[in-house]
Amino acid sequence: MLTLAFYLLFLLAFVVVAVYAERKTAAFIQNRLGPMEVGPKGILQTIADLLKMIQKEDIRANAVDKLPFLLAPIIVFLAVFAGFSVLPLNSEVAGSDVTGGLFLLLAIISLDVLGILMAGWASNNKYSLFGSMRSVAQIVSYEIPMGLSVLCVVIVTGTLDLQKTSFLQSGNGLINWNIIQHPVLIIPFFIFFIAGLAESNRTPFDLPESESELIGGYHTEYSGFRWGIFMLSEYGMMLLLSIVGTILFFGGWNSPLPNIGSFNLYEMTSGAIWGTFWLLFKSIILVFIQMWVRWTLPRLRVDQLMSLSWKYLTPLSILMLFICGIWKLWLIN
Amino acid sequence: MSELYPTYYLYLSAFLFGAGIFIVISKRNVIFVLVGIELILNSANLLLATFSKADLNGQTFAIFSIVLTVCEVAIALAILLNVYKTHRSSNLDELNELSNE
Amino acid sequence: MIQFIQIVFFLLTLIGVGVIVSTKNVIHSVYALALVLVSLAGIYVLLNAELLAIVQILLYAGGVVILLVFGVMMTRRGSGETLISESKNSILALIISLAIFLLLVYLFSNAEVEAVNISSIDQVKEIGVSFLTDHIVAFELIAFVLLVALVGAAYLAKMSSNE
Repeated sequence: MLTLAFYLLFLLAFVVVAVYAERKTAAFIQNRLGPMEVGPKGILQTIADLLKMIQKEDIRANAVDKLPFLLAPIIVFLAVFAGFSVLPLNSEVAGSDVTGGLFLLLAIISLDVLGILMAGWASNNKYSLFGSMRSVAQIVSYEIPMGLSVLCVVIVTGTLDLQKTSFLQSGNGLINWNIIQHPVLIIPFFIFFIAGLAESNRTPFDLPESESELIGGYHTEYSGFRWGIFMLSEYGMMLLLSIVGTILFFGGWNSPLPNIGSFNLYEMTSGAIWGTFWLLFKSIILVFIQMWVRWTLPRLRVDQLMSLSWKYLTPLSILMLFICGIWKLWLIN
Repeated sequence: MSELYPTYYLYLSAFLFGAGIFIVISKRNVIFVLVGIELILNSANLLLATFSKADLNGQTFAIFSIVLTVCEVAIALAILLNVYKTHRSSNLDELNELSNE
Repeated sequence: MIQFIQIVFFLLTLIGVGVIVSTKNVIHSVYALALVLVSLAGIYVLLNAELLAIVQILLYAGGVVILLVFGVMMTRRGSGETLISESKNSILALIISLAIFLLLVYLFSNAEVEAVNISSIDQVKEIGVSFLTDHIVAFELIAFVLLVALVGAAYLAKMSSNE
């Protein structure tokens, strides 16, 4: 229960900061300044946007299907947020005590497709339907490379529990991270990152909500706070996949500073609060890389997107599965 | 944890089976009939899971059953697409001849 | 507390089945099927079948329901038309299903289900080991069936969109 409350509050605070950070990142990459008016250097911009969004009129067209239209954003948010329940916070506070924690996370994330389908269908609008069908095809296709690359990590560590994976990487700082202890996991990390970008509908895979082609994709007909819930779930999915990537590949809540000689830097920077800080710090760096990629790369066309998943990422992840199996056997001997 | 009301799971499984049979017999749309078949298969899975003991055999067979169901639904929908292309209807009453002429 | 959770999941399942049986709109019945499948996964957790619950959510609620919705989308006659399906022979169907239900309830009323406390076993590991030792033939055959179904469904769907 403690992790649930913590992650809920952290997610809400994170979205407020992340929207501002994204607009500033976009601005600096595009050689302009971004929001500067509201508050000193535009810090209060997101709060102004939130206030505007809450008081907007809740437009509901006549021909929509009432109950699925209202339920769809809630289902997407619930599916994304339920995945936070298996994440550990630090060495004492673990998530919920399920044996197959990672497996449960992947299963619950695949439920948000239902919400997107309901949103597109209930809107009774050609553009919403196209957007939601494209989004469903994209999310379902990229679940396979994501699951297979996570499976590579599970083969090497031998456990599905995220807290045990973090414990296996504790010790001497940077050297004990999974990606440095087992260098065979570098390519699965890239596959996981690309598939994670596609799962949360971010550029270069944001065809479902591309503003220049489909008006808004599956959230065209939503206004005001319901649209806000869709955006909240998108940022929530970004954060969730970054935290999972941190725990699986980059050491979780362990400190990266090693023990050099008599300077016990690792001991000095471990503990309950330090652990939480290191986990969130590393995931926020991954989130920043996702934002950076968004404003640098162009968008992929639908057939390029599907061929990337089925013809390149899936065979590559099956090959990496084989190589990780050989690595694990060599380690055991 | 399942010491409370153990036989109620069996009654729920019987109810799912009855509802599935009702839908398969009375509804006329192909997708509706597929939904009914899903209900019947789920009632069998629930029965298997209730009776599985410490060697986890019931769970294993329920997992096999789920995998087979997924294959069956995929092929049924592919057949439905082909039938819809020639007959332009997914109502079971109108699909009683091989060709539409 | 456990009884409360049990009652909640039972109620959700019954509401979902009620919606499926009583609605005429095909897409609403598929949404209600998704609700039934997820609440059944909750009941599997209460029965100490963890891996089965996760597989149910992953494959059934995240796979079969999407397939059914795509099937509905591709078999509509025009856009903007809600797919309504009438039912024939309702009374006969009701009698038959009620008869089967009562027969099954009578059979089950003599059953003795004992509760087994197996929460100390690492279920994922045990089932994985049993897949590769006790049930290896079934495992290999299912892999083969999946391959055949995948190729067959892809070919059939391609045939229907080629002309």
